[in-house]
Amino acid sequence: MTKDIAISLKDISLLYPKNNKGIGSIRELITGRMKKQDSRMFTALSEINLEISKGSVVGIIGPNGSGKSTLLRVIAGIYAPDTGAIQVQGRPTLLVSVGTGFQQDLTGRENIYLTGSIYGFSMKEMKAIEQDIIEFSGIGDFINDPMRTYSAGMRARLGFSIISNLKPEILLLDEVMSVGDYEFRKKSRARIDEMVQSDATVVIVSHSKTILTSICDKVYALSSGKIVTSGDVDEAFEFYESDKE
Amino acid sequence: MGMGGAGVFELHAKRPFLSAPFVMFSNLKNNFQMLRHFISRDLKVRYHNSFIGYGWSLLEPLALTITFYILFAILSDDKDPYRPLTILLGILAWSLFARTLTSGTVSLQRNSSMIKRVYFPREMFMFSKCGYQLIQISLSLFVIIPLLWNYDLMPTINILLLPIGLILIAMLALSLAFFTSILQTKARDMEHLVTVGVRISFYLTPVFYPLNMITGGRIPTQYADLYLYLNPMATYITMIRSAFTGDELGIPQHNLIFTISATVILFWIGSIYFMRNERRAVKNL
Repeated sequence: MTKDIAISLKDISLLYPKNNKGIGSIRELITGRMKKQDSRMFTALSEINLEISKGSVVGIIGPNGSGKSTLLRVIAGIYAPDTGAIQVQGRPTLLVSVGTGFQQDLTGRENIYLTGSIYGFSMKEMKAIEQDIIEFSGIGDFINDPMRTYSAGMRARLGFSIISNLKPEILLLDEVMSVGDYEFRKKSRARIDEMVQSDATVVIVSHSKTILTSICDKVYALSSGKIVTSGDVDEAFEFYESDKE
Repeated sequence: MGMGGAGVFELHAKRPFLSAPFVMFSNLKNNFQMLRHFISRDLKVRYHNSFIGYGWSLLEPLALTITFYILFAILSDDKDPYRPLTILLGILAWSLFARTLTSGTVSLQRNSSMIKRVYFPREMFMFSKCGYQLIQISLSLFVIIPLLWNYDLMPTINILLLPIGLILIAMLALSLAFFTSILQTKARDMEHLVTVGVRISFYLTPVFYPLNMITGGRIPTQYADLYLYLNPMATYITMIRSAFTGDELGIPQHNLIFTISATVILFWIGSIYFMRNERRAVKNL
């Protein structure tokens, strides 16, 4: 892998269990073994080849169920591809929804440390950015209260504030999110723009043409688990528009 | 996640085979901070930072001990000089096993929202449940001090059997949870099977009675031998009892060697199974 490539995917394919939520019983586990594998699985990603250079901002567009979120999760290491090889240079952080792993009975401050440790940051690293996190979130003195006393908005603000202060080398954004009140939304949009413009490598999944065209160097269209365009922004949108119909 | 030079994460590059337990332990070392946070969270929720919380955690083992003590006083003519101690230690050791296994079984499923958003070694969930139970039992063991004093029992060299027994119980429970947690993602009724299995084993294991009630002449010797082969918890609970009473273990050496090596091998196989299947299993969540 050359030095300036941050993410490299080679022939990545991933099968996903059908109707996975209704997964059933031990009986099905035993009888299911007799069925053919392809009747139980569908191809979520198929022969994905992608190289993303360091510091670039790449958008992925595609209809619902085309495999966008699955692709991000593969890059983040959450799902293992069934075939192919993936290399990631730097620590990938997936920003999909805020407040992952928050504990109601711990204080806001304890939750900062807990979240940090989940994302692989040490106590020392977290102590260094703790003040910035609290300040940005606007939580104030509530930071020492148990999280169960927080409103949903406060929780979301703290969650966003933690993740955005971790300054990940590789940021994976699943839909650009909006949290909190109008003021905080403005602040968080500005923060995301800031992260996107930094040296971080960013992969954004979105439906929004305006967001993707304004910040992305390259945009790929995804259709039924396949990358179908070459990275050219206009080409991707052209395909996406025709794919929708 | 293999870390190559210059911070290259070779995600999914290889799944460990024979090295699985060592990879697990190095993951454990690298994520120690997370483990501490998980355990202290569980402790805080349980104890609410108070002494009363500690009392509540002892209520169940103490109440069970008194119940079984009374039952045995009525039903049995067995002369166990340390009966309350025998029962209490059995119940504490058993809860370490049972709770690590049952909470480990559902730990992937219960943490699905976290698992789908951030990657870290998934065995951390199981290690944190186990660590929490180990701390819990260490705290609970303080209540036996008055009993030891009452029986005039001074610690002997046998006390070394306590950490050995606890570690072997933890390993046994973890190895089973490595299998059941993965199976639980595929079939949600796995946890019921585990619950029933644990409940039945509770009665078949010398938890509220001493081992010699089974092996001490009530059944033919060859069956006693078979029983010890099949029930490793019988051996480990007896280890913990004799750690405090200073009595001889009373378990033949060949049984001891078999049981301990079987546990180590089971842990090895369980960790291989878990590490080779967890990435695929989380797709079911």
